[in-house]
Amino acid sequence: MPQISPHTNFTETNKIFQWLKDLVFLFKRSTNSEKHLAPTSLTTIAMSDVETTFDRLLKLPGVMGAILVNGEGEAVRTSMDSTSSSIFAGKMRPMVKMARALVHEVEPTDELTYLRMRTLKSEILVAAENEHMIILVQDTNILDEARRNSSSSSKKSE
Amino acid sequence: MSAEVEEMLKRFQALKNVVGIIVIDNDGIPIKTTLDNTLSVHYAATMQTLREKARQVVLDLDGTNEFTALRMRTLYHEVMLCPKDDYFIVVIQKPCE
Repeated sequence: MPQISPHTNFTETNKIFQWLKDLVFLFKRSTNSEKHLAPTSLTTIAMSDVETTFDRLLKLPGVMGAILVNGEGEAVRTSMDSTSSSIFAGKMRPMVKMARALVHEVEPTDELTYLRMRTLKSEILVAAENEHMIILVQDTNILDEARRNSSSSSKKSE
Repeated sequence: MSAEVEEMLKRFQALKNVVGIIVIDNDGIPIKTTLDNTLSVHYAATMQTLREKARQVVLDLDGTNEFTALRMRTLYHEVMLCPKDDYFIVVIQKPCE
């Protein structure tokens, strides 16, 4: 039986997505500030924000790896080894492009915010904004466990 | 058996946030749908391509792994795709905030 149901709690997903958006924003800010030769303190602050948010991402349940991909398709920040990062980035890029095109085709005003692919072993979350992408790979079982715990605890508190 | 299927579809469709449910076979033709025909066919074609692509990607990344589900969030909707052997199901819902 498929495990996705319309009952799934969206707060967790929205939280992750908000963090991902923050990360992309901070990353863009930091790369832009480097281009404009801003004082070093500014770049270090921006980069450390990226680092902090990235580390926060890694603390999520069951995270096997996180990759921040820039406009050129290079993995800029990653917690996995560089070969798998580049493979992931390479594979997810056309996937996101296609998903975006399809969303646009069905409803022209709509826009893709993120894509979550679930497989037997892992769950891959890809958040894309303009050309930047964040790929988060989580272990399916650990993630489901965490979801079940969080939904049961929220039900208890109701 | 089809009565059970109808029952389930009705139950899911009655949920507050669900916009539509489409069951699509391997040829990209919607066999059961709760949306109107044109929209279903449109969705069926687009989701078919996406499903194939996702299956390829997962297989490329890890030969032993299998693509079980896909969830796509857009500004207004959330589209969930669940592939099975002979068909796949697409559910479109309005995410609750």
